[in-house]
Amino acid sequence: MHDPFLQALGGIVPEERLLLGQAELLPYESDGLTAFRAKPRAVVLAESAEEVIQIVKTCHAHDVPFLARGSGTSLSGGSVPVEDGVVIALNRMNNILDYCPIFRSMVIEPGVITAQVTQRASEDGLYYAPDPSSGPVCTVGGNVAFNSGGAHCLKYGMTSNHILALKVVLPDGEVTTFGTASLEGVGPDLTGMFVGSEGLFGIALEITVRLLPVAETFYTVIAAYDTLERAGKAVAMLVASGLLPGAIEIMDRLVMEAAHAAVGVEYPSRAEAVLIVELEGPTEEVAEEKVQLQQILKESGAFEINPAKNEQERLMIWKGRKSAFSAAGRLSPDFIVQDGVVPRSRLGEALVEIQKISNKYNIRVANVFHAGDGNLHPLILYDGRQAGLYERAEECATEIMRLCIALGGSITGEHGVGLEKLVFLKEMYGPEDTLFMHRIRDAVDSARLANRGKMLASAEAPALFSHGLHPLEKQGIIFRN
Amino acid sequence: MAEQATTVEEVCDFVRSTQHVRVMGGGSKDNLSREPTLCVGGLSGLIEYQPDEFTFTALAGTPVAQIEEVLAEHGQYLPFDPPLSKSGATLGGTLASGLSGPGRFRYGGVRDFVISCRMVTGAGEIIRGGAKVVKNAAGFDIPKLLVGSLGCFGVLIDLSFKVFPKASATATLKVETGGVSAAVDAMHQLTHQPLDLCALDFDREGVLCLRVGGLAASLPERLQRLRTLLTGLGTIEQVDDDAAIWAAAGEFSWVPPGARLLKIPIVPGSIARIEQSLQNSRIDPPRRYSVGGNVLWLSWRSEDRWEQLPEFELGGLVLCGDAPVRWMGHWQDNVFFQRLKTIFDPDGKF
Amino acid sequence: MQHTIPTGETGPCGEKMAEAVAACVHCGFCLPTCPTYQQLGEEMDSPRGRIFLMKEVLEGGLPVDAAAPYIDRCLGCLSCATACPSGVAYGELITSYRTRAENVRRRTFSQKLLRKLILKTLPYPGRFHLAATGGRLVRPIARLLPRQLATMLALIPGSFPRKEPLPECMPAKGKRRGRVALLAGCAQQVLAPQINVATLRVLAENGIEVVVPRDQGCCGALAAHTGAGKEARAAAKHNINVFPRDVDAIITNAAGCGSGLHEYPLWLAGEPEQEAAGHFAARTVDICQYLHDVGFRPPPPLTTPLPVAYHDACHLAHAQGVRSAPRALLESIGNVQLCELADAEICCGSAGSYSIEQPEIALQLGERKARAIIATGAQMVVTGNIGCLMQIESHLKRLSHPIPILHTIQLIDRAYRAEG
Repeated sequence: MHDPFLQALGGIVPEERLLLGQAELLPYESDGLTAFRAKPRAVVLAESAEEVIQIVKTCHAHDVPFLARGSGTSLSGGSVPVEDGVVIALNRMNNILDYCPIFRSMVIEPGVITAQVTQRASEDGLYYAPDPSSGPVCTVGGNVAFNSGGAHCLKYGMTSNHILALKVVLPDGEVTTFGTASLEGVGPDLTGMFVGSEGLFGIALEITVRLLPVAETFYTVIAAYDTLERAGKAVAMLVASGLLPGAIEIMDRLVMEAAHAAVGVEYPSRAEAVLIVELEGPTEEVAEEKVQLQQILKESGAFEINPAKNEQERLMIWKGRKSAFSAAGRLSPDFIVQDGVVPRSRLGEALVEIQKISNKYNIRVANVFHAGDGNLHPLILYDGRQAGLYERAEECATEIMRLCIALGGSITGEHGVGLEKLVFLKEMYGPEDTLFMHRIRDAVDSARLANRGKMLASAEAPALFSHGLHPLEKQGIIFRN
Repeated sequence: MAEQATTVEEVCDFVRSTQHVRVMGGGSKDNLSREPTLCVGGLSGLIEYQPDEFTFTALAGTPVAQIEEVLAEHGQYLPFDPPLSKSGATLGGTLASGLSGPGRFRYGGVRDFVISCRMVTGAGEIIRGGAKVVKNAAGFDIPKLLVGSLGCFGVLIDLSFKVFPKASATATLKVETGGVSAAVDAMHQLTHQPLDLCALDFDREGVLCLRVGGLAASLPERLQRLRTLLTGLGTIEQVDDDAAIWAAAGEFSWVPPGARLLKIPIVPGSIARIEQSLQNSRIDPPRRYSVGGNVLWLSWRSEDRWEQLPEFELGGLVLCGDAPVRWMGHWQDNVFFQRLKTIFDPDGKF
Repeated sequence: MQHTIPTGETGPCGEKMAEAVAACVHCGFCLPTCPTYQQLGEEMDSPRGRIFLMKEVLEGGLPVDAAAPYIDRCLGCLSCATACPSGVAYGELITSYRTRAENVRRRTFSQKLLRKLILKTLPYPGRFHLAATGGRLVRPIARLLPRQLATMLALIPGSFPRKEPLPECMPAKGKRRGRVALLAGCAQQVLAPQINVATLRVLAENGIEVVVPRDQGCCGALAAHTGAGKEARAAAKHNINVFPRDVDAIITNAAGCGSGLHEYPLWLAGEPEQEAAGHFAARTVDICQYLHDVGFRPPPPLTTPLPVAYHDACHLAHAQGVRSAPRALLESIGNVQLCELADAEICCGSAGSYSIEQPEIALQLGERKARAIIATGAQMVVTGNIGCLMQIESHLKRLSHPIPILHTIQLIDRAYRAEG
């Protein structure tokens, strides 16, 4: 090993944890979004915070870009390596460092799997509220970086609402802490600023999460509708009713088919769309609320209302819903998952527009979304082996994204900007606010080493692309198969 | 004499032309807005409110009370119970001082409900952060950064919040546990139960206040169950006017006139230690533990010497009264904060 | 996942492999269920990583030998296939890939020797018995042998049960309700011949006549899963020929063999026997599933309560989807208290010849499984696969908890015999 940089890394971790060979690096070239790939120079399997700090310092000293990777499940390309940079794999840093059931908090390493937090806390009747669909796979470190969401954000907010404190290494190797185990603090909410920064501010080394008591009773219901639009309107009625369900989700016919094939959940046979609504709370409260809920669902035109009869059925409903993205692989060889947000009161309107866009491009769009939050996940289905289809799918996706912006929404509700929505950040925030974000990043990471190229497009990148090569592809920073 | 700003342009002009900017909103936290140079109380008004969307946008100088009134007309509310709203607290001041009331216990604090902001930076530029939808993961979360920032990053112009439907009925049980340590023990028994408590506070006499909210039809049963759970912990009493006692708590009516009011973030595990150190100092200040033992609201009377104030691990904020400092703690030493500060406030105006 | 696999140039299974790669959306749902990813924590040692590597090799971008260490470490337990929402046919992919890669990969002399030794002894009961006896003799010098050979020796039991010659036909007791053929298995006949005897008795007890074709051979699974395509195809063709067609089902009682038989159409893709292989596979069914489906007469209750841990053999649960049938049969026996294991979907590390080829990982997994069993407080372990049975037995002993272990059918058989 003649490369002094690699030599320096070799001084931090033993040889078997410094991956350099072609076969070792290839599987790290992409994450949950396979459209993008980039070759890292090395992958380091870190096992302690101290190692991560040393690796970051070494990268900084040698001016080599780096990024952290948990389970590599990002749907925005957030953990696609920086070309010729270093991947710091944190999945082995999966220890629970401190668990204080009485104070309802837990201190964990970033590589802890999200679902395992709840698993551990459940012994004490507690749980960790954020529940991204990839919860059994993804890591809390990744959730912190991307401010991940899930089905239950409606009532409990996103990851950011459940992170109390962080110990982080900044992009130049300086270590600092934000927040405390208290729900309250003094001074600017630096924890809140760090969460969702997509790795641009450095790497979280220790995470203190807030835990909540598990609700006493759940009432989960599947309501069937003959059109997607009607289901969308039902959501608006539900939100306006003053009920505050734990979750309101919509799945359309295509997604139901995929989820049925994947996990065997049965859906009402004639339904074009189903609404999943979950009430949760004290038994007496849920008993009253469900009467109201059923009333609203009937008024909204649901032709079948099937409540889960037991916990097993409830878990199946969620399993089906949470397998939806991956199950889309059964509908089509390729698909683009979108993550736009629209104001909830304009959901019905957005769905009609999406259908129009789908017709216009003659591309199938499957719909599954966190309806209560107005967080849409259109799945744009295409076969990349057919000439021109990828481009058409991209155009279709672009138009849906612009629709969300035009309706006053967001380009991402929970997946983050990553690589995928890089060019749309500016469209959403405008040039000045985007530039300001660049300046913030430069103040924190003047060398632009931490997860370079994600969230903030490099200044020289063209502002927009509608078809053909992605601007980053043109620059040779990324490539796709 | 503070300059009065009623438009965004006036704020920008003022910031560009002034070296020392200290903002005041409603002046409800007099120690934090001491010696203001800019008053934004005139920058007031609800800009946008769509009840069926459960979000609103208002100018930073809008009184919280005014917003709460409009929201209440549609059965909605800010679930973090912004304190001092009846004393004229503004939306911007509440955010900048990072204050949440007892309701923070259930659904989160001001940080969890702010979704978007516009502000004027030290360079006099207007920037926007966040989006006016309830879920957004795009870009840096600037609105959250500003929570508790005490104006050190810029002048707030407008803010958007998400809101929740208000419970159709609420009720409060008071339990006389006999003292702080008994109240803490009782609290630990309760915080793990799926009771869906809206608030959990107690005072220095160990009187625990538990608030429950929900549908009117189910409330009596829930209260009955709560009473059963509380049996043996002390005398239980259901308060007559539940709204009034929480409003009084939000206005800190228990604080003697002229006394300093401090917000001390704590972890429930440190309460015993705090009580011990207060006992050692032989001062028994009026105080109230709120948010399930995560905040200590402390009154330090003018006759109590400032130097006798115990050390608080997590720092503190002096909201009202005559005090030598605005806050205690070392957050300004944080390297991440300092780097951000160079961008928001390059010339050190705030 | 997009790919450029030249399906025309990648053999008869090229299309199938390409389909599996295309179906993978790289979501990572397979990671937490993969035993090697759990143990090693590297992307290359995960199903998703392996699919990526296989794709690269098939596309011509990566040498076979570079990917080999990671492909070799796959247990083939198919836990990932169960977890996969996208329906990637991982088993078909890796079996076909291994066969294809075997033709081009370079192996060291000792690797080749070990492979030969495994492939030429394990599938042949006579040779296996002989080799194992010989193996016991050389045990004192095991330290001098390569690690893997030493492991192989360590796995040989101290003594073998006596041989149990099986009748060519076992008549049904009472009214005949069905007629099936039994695959007797190779290693099983040497290591635990009682399992076949119990199988015959339980089937007879339920009114099923069983034929045991005399000329049947090894199912070929061991060969197929280590890339020995030629041997696997020969085994498949042979069995398709010698098994009678006029039976209701072909019964397997070793999960590995059952899963192998189900793969015959894949192994024989492009061969004249492919269609026959399809019919053959369609008639193949695990003993517990068969009993459950035809209607099972519950044995009398045990005299005392017995907590029983049921271990899901990967090739039953993941490869054949047989999970509830064995549990239902066991639960029908009064006083049997079924205990579920933590991480039940994770392999015990036996995986055919895996414990010989990858002893370290097999050891970790075996120990983990044994601990999970001990934690249940069960007084007996049952499972549906001879490999798991041997592996778990040896690890329980190592941890000084020699809990008795039986094949599911043996416990059922015992319950019936207590009745007589």
